[in-house]
Amino acid sequence: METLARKIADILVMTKPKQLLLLMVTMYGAYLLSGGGLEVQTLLLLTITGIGAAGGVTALNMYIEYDIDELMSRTRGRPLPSKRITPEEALAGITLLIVAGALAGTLINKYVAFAALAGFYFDIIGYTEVAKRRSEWALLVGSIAGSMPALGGWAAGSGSINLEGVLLAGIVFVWQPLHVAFIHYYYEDDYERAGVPTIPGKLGPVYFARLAAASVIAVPALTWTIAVLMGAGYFTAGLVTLMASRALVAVARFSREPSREMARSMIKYASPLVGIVFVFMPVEAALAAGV
Amino acid sequence: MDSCNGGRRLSCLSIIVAGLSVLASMAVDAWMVALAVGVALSGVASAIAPLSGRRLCLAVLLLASSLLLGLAGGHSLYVSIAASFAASLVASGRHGVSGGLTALLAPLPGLTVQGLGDEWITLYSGLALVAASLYAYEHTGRGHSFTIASVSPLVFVSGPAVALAAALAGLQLSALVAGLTTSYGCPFRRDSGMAFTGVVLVLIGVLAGLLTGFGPGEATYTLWLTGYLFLVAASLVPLSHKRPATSWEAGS
Repeated sequence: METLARKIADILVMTKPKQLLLLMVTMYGAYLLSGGGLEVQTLLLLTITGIGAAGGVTALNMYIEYDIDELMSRTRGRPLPSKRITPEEALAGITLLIVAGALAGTLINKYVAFAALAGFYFDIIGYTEVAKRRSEWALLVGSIAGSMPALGGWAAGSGSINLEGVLLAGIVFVWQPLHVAFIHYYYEDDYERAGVPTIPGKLGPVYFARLAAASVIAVPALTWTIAVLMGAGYFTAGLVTLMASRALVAVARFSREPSREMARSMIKYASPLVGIVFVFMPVEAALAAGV
Repeated sequence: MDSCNGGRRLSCLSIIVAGLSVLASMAVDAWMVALAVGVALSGVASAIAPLSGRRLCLAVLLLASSLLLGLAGGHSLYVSIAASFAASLVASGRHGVSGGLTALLAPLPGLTVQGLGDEWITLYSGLALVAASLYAYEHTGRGHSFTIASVSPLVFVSGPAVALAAALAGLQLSALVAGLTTSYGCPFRRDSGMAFTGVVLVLIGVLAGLLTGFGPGEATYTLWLTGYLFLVAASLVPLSHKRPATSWEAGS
């Protein structure tokens, strides 16, 4: 029994709980913003969808590429490379997670199921299997997958996929390269050893800094667009603009003197941007609606 | 490299594009189209990642059970799908003439259940069978037989014209897989465990629909599509993936 509990815990570790938490925040935030009201049953099903589909896909990702994980000091201690769990056990647990997530999504509506399956498609097939080991631009494909929980959350509340939902998911999409590319820069040696091409490694820090700047500018731009379309969320958009300005200054400094320490601090600047949008904006929208 | 049946970049590309259309058709309220393309593509993916001995037997056994249940319950759609899948699985394990013959026979159980009175059905089946046999003899491979077998249930779902179009599209796709890609190297290998998972999910979808008596529904389609994604993912595992063989694979 204790062994089973440990195996389950290992499979949960494979879902990358911290990353999953951020994805869940985007999902809940989009759900609340969609204006569909708060229903306990939908919220429960959405939680299962998020943990099952998003977490399961992340774990499947880890299952597929644990040869890379074995090569990188940062990932060597994960359940599969450290042999705490066998591939069969991992695949069985992951399958259960993904199926539960997709079916729970279907019970909400087909658009949520679509988002769950699209996340699988873009993350596993598009990013991990086709693009990651071939192109430094693979992270753009991965970013589409990362934006699917937000799209699913929106679809759960609104019952459809429309412009606002796509724009909201777009915030996650434009933010993610910024976040991931700085992680790539920080762990560049590891990625080189594993043969994974990265934007900082292939295109150099100056080009990379320009891309990061574009990403930093796109986040507030999209936030303002959504605020105007929805008629709420101006405070959040202002706050995000302030934070992004600070990040932009840091990006400029990084482009002049690129270093691992600077990259690490950029991760800290970039991380809160999405969290702020998906936490503050629903609160602001609810206050504006007089809830 | 020995696990490769030729290069796959183009086939991967075609599968990816087709996968996108599956997801897009889901988004625009066309579940049946999504299902149909998904089923057809899972056939192609299975062809790339053929199942090994024990799993093949188990899959055929499960499919045969669903076939019997479908016959008993009068659910002809499931019968067609299950029969085609079963025949396809058998075809995947056979090369040469026997594989071609199995592919030829694949759509027949479904056609028989539905009756062959309609002239369009006759035309479709005639064309499909001729094409299947040609491909089977030419390539003695798998993609063609899978595709033909997998799209055959369409004839009972969306009408003969759609079925014909789908069959031809399936053929084009399988031509890409079987022919064009061989000159582009082989960047991928396959993961048998994941392929098996995909087949089992599709089967659970069929059996669940049969046993509940509700017929195809969105949950069933979701299971089928999840199975399809597992199958495609199983066929595209990067070559540098150095996972040791699982007990299933080692035993095959």
